[in-house]
Amino acid sequence: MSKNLIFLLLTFLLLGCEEEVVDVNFPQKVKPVVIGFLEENAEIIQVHVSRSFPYLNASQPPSDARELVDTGALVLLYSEPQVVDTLIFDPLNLLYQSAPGTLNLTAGRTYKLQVIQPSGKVIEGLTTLPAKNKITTKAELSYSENKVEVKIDIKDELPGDNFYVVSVLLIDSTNLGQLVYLKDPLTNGLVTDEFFKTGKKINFINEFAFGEFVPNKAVIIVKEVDKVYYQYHKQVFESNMDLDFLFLSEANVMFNSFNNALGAFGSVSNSTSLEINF
Amino acid sequence: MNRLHFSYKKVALINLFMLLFFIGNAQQSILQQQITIKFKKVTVADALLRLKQERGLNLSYSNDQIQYRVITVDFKNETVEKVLRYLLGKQYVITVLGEQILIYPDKHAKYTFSGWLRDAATKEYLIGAIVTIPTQNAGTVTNHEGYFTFTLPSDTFTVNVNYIGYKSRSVFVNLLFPITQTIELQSNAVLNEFVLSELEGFKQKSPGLSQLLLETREVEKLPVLLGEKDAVRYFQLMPGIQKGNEGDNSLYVRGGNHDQNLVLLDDAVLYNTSHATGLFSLFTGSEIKRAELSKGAFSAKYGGRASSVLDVSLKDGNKTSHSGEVTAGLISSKLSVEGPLLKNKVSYLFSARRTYIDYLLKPFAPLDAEESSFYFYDVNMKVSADVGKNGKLSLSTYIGGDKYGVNDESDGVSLSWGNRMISIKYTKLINPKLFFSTSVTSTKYYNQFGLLFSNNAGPQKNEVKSSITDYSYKADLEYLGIKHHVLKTGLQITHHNLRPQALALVNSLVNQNPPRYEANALEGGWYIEDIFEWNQRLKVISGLRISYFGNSDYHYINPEPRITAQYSLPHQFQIAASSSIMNQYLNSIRVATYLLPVDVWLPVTQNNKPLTTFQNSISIKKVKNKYEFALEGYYKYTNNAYMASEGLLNLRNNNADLNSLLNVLLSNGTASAWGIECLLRKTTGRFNGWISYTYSRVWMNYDNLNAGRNFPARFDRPHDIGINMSYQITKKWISNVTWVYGTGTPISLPVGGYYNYVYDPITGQLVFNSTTRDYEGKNEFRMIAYHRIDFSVQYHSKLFKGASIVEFGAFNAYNRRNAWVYSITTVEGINRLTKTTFLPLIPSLSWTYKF
Repeated sequence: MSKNLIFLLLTFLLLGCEEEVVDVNFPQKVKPVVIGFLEENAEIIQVHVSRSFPYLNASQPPSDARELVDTGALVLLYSEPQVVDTLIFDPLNLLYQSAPGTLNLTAGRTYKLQVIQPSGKVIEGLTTLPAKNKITTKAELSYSENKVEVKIDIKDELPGDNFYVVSVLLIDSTNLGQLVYLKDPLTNGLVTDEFFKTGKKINFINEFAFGEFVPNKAVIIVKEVDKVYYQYHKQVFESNMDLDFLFLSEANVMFNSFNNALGAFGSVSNSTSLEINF
Repeated sequence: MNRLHFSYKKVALINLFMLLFFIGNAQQSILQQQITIKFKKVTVADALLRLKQERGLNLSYSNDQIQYRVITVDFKNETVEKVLRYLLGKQYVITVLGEQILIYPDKHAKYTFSGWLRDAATKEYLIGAIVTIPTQNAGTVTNHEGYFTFTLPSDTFTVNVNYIGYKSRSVFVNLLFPITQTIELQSNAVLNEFVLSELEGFKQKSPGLSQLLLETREVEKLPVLLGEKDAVRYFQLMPGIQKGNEGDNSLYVRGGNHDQNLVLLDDAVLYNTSHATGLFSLFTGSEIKRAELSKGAFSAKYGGRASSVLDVSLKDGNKTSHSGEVTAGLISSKLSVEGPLLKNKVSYLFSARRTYIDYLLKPFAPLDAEESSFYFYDVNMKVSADVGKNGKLSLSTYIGGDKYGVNDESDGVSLSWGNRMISIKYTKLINPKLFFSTSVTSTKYYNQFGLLFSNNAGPQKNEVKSSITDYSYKADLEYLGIKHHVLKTGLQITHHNLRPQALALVNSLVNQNPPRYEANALEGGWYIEDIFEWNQRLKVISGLRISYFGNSDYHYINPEPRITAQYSLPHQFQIAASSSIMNQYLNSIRVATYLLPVDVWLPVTQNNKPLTTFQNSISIKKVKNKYEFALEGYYKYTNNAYMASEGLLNLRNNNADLNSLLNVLLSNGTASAWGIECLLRKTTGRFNGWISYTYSRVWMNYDNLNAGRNFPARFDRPHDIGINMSYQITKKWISNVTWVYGTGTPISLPVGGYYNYVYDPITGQLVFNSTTRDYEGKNEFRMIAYHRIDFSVQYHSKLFKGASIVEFGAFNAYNRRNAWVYSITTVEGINRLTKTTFLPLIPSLSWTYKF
């Protein structure tokens, strides 16, 4: 903490500012955690299965996440009534994942994820891959020494709330993958169709030192996601901020798509990409 | 004989008819006689005298029955009747008897008795004074300009005038023509000589607990905090009005958020009323003439906020002599002076306050600190003038703010906020039944919170900045000419300029001055209101306000009806009920976690609809002798309730899209609030005070929050108690004790934590992200209850030609460690809940000298 901040707090201390530990009996719970996302045409799918840990009046959480990972679960993917795949635990990534090339997920279809824990507890979640939707993307780029600005206007054909994740990659002349991944500072790249209905464009403005990296083209990737994907990721990013900026944040009650577990089961479907040369 | 006798009768009758015919003709001839005469700046009495002397008219009248009026008029070949009617008006009977023209007041006519009430010494107009005429069973209170009016049959009667802190006065009136009179009251050094029966009548005139008044003299009895009195704290001791958590001096009224209160200072809006992270308010008392807080179906002339109106009027200033007071306290001093600029015509008021804790702390500041500040200040100025006949013009300004921080080149923290306002107001009594007032105001509220630090990339600064600037015009008409009714109408137009910005990251590598988002909007309102007093028992106030808010992109027009009915029952009981619909178009965000008084005001938009409240209340009240008891229940439902979204308050302006910016606001919620308020009060006597208790609940619901379940609002604090007791020990010693209690503020605590993963849309991989706290429900845990006791003792004495008041006391006398914030910190490897306390026992000593 800076000395000046300490001084400011000291001035309040003169008015009696002090801290003391409060003994509270606020019940702590350990819950299963399941996180998985499907993507149309994906090579593999991955599912994270673990458990939460007591936070208050408890020791610091394990520094190694492996201690919390549930390695003995049975993880099944259904396209009702059939099992589409049985996911195998990968100890390297600490994730359950499908064998490469075994899946053929279809847009518009509903899939069920079933996790059976060694204790016998069953956790189930459903997701529907976003239906076929024609996405048209227009983009404008402006680039200066320390700043890149991207304005994207997305149009689609389906009515209702449609959700997207937008990624902007900047690539230099070597094309060796020196990527700069731009995110909308408000939503971390997550947008909803509501933005477009108002006739406004999404702006990505990032200001940073490029150093020796000089991009010569930008690739804009727009993917349509389901509402679960949108809500879960949006709240994860917000809760990241919550931990970092205590002065300016509100506690997040996290979105969960399971009734009896933390986490989410969502999906990604249509995608479009656009390449613009500087 | 009989025939002859008949013949005499017939002749006499004919003669009588002839006589009447001639008399009638004579009347006609005198009154129809044409004259030419000029009057230049003469009184009516002088004009009549000239008619007698110069035109030979035989006028018969009593001089003391002729209304004083100065006229300038030129009559050319006009009839005598027309000239007399012009001079006298319709309230006089004009008849001819023989050669005489008789003039006398029409006893069957009704006349207006109106007037102004003011302080005899300072000529300050007195608002809310009680004027009663017992023989006519009539009574009223003076309006915002100290004006009152009655329409009564021609008669003689006694008018009683009462005002708290002033000697009662009776005035004899012979109402033979319309009278407008200025009545002056002598200030009374003894506070409790207020006539009880009149007080009873007054208390019964205000409905339930929906309207609360604070007069200057009541402020003087309040206990001090660090030598400072606080008008806002007075209202927080009343039922239905809660203070925030420790360090938050905002008002929370009947389940409304802190931004739902309209605070007016001489017609100008103040957007923030707190000093020193909520320890003090802007209103200290000595410069205040009157403060009125309305929390039910408040008058239709007010709009723009959903929960309450706090209307504060500054004193006009002493019009006859210079006076003032100086207060020196432990951390601040204050000067207040007033006096005439032009005797009996133009007056001024100036008051200024500044804390000097920054000077006291300077020796302890870090050696390399380039700048350190820790102070707040207020400056009030007002000039008032009587302009023309029955006209008043005033100019008021307020400048105040807080500045805290310490900085050097690469490290620092700063926090500042403040208000500036100017108000020009003109009022005019157009005729005894028509009152006009208009004002032009401008107000600005700004705030800034900055955190300067260094890392590998060089100096970094996180900054929150926000401001709102208003320019406003308003005009009001008050018509008192219809029996049993007072009609009011008016309009208001305000231009808002809002510059919200939160968390702009500024460093040496990026833009030093990030673009600031700016929104402009017009807010307007037109209203009509009728105050109907059918008799001394039934009073109905009904009003309709049509409100507007919009700009080139969107427009909102909403009706806001409101009605209050009150009925006086036998044995001094009164029942009242009210119902209202209010809209609010500006909302402010304040993040719950640390409760800094840094508000970011935002307008409604196409997507963020106006907040609307529907409120019903019912009350019963009894005022008997020295005691007042009131019980009131309310239910309030809010549509489009606003709150800050979860996570980081992020209003970065590199996305110049209002809808994107307003993602930080959740507007699709509802709030249901209900409560029971209770007040028992002893108003007079050496021992006086009150006990107030409120039980209230506020539940909020948002589709996207808390899994769609109801949760208690941050300001849901069911039990709220305020006790104030004042005892005049001797003529020189006065003591005061206050105790407050409030249920603890609800906060969210985690039931656990977990490691989360996110899906990378480019690689298609699940990627470890961070640790997340598992908050199972919103606001499910309560901080410890808030309570404290304050006391003060005043010693009054005479010193030189003035008065001295030495006051000592203590804030939080039993040193209750109330919680400011709760946070989770690691103590010896264990995550523990820690409570940060703020205000311990604070003794105070101040000295005030009035001259």
